[in-house]
Amino acid sequence: MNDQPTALERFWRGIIPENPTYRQVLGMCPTLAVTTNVQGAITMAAATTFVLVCANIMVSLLRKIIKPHLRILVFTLTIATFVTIADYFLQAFMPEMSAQLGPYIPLIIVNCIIISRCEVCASKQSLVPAIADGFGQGLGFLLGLCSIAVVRELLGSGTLMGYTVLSENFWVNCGIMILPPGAFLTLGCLMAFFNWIGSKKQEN
Amino acid sequence: MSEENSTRKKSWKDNYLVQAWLILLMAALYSAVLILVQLNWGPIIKENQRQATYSQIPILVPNTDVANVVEKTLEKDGKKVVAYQCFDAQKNPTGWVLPASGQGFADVVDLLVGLDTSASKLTGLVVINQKETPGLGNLIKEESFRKQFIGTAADQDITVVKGRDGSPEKNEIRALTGATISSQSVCDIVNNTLKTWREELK
Amino acid sequence: MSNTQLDLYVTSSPHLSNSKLSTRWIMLDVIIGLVPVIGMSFYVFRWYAVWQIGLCLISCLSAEAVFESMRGRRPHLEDCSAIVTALILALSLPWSAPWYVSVVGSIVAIGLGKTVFGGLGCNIFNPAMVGRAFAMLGFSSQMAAGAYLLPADATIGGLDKGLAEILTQATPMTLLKSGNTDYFTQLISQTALIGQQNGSLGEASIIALLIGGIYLLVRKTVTWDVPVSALISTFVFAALFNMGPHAFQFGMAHVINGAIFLAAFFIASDPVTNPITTKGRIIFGVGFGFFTVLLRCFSSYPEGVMFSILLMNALVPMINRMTIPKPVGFVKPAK
Repeated sequence: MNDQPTALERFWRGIIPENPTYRQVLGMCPTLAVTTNVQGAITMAAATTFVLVCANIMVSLLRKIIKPHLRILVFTLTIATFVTIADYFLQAFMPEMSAQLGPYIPLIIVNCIIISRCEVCASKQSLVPAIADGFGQGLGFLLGLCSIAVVRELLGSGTLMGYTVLSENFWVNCGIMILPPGAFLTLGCLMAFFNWIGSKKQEN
Repeated sequence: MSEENSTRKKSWKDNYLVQAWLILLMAALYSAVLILVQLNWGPIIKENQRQATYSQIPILVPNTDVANVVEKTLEKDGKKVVAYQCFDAQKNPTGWVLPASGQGFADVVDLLVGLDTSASKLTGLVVINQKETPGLGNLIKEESFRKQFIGTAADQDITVVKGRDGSPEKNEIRALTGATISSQSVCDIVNNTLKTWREELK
Repeated sequence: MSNTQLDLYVTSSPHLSNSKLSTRWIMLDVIIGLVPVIGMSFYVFRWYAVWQIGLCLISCLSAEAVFESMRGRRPHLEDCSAIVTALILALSLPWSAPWYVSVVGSIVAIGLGKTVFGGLGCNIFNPAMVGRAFAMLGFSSQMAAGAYLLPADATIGGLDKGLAEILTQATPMTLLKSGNTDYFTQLISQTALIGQQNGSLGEASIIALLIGGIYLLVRKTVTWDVPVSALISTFVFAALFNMGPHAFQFGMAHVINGAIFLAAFFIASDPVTNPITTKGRIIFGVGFGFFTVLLRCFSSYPEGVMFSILLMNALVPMINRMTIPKPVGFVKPAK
């Protein structure tokens, strides 16, 4: 397996060239649902990164003894365990955030970013690249969620991280941005923007 | 290859359980981890949930000492609800807090209703959970809307009046502009809950 | 259509020789058709209407220029399509809408309603309605029924008495929503026809809308099928949904009030977002009437025209597939 990318490559790829949100278009459910404010987006991305790294570690360690036809079962079992731990952690120590994110933390179990990284990277590569991959993809996811959340929170509530940025004296909140259509519109516009930058780069 | 497989003698290795030894082992291991997590964090989570309700009680029923609140399980027609009987620091009864929930405009709305000692008047209302339309329906959680309920009689229905049609009278709540359904839902939830449980609060 | 530099070019059929049938002429016709409506809105809402329409025109034209340049094209402002979008958007807004509602609505209408789909002729949804929908959901309190009313405590300093009288009335749609039959005489009376009632800018007068609509029908800029089926189906469904002694009045009230006439002649009949065949367009009109009345009667909004048009726009590809005309002499192949 010499043609596999190195740890550093894996890390970098996750952030920009294979960004989960804008390049792979994976994990759209939390991307659309929890990006109404930046804090929620950061918590969501942190929880996902935790599960991603832990699942990658387990799968990478066990990759030689996993039977190929049972691998999905192993992946799901591992992911579900770590998601439950993350969910309990939030409920115990960040109850307000947990209430805000609601069912979307348990739903990380079915987030396709994690299972795709287990399949693409961790089940084929050793521990170090797998960990680097987990962090890289996690950071990429954070970038994706935050970019959408910044736009939506700023336009929809006039705040950033809960602090008022645009005072109500001269700013009228655009309610649609915190409603579901706002998520789709923001995602679409940002994706078009990043594709545009990408195509400009290719031309040069 | 497939022929070989089908004609091959069945060995103990083909058994499902043997094939899945790794998964069974992992399941056992993960269960152990999760049990540990539950044992450690479970009580904190319970305490958090209790806290969420208890922190609202002094707002709902004035002069209540949270340390002296007694939980009472009420039962009627097979339905159950946990009500909170409130006392002040000298253990004199101050009132009741009753959880209420029902369908709002977008999703289920969860409320806590505060009542005086004889359960005849509302002393407060808070919204715990709601997913109403931002900017319109979600204003039900604002104090300006909620405070209208303070002092309304609990033994008769609370009704909603729309916008400009005169000023609200006794037991009337002025609807939020553009969110008549959310406002109506809150009133309906309160009315229904009181109808069911008011007699049981003793 | 822009002229390419070649003198000869081959296009697919139909081969039209009438040079007057350009986009520009169609759009100019629509603008001429809108003149009575605009005049009426100036008369009823005075400076509010002038301000609103001017703002929408400026922001739509600038948005068109900016977005088309972003696509690397020369903006064709002279085809007047942005002007039509601006006028329809402005006429569908409440008189009280603050400036940012019109500006954001215009930018969204041109940007998300038209340019992202590939510009004029490629849009799935009516651009003006996309812009209005965004404004409606984005600034809901500035667009709700309350926005049409002059606040009771407002100082009516610069306003003359006639205008103040109109602006303090509840809109007909709000009255209809309340279900109170006391208002029927008022709802089906002359005021609705001539234009002394509150509402969006373009809803002031049915007669003005009718004059503009008939002009478009005579010029054949708009085919008869969508407007006629829309009006009839609105009447029928409104009567059906309100069965009882007042069914007929309910039907009349729903047709005469609100944006039905404006929508039937100027918005729903937009050829870009219409089905291709006559049969398809009749289905489109009937569906439009059905959803409008459904939303008016059973949703929390008093008016349903905008969502109804967007909904039917989304169904157009399906209607087109259902109504493919049979070729002449076509025989169904035996199974």
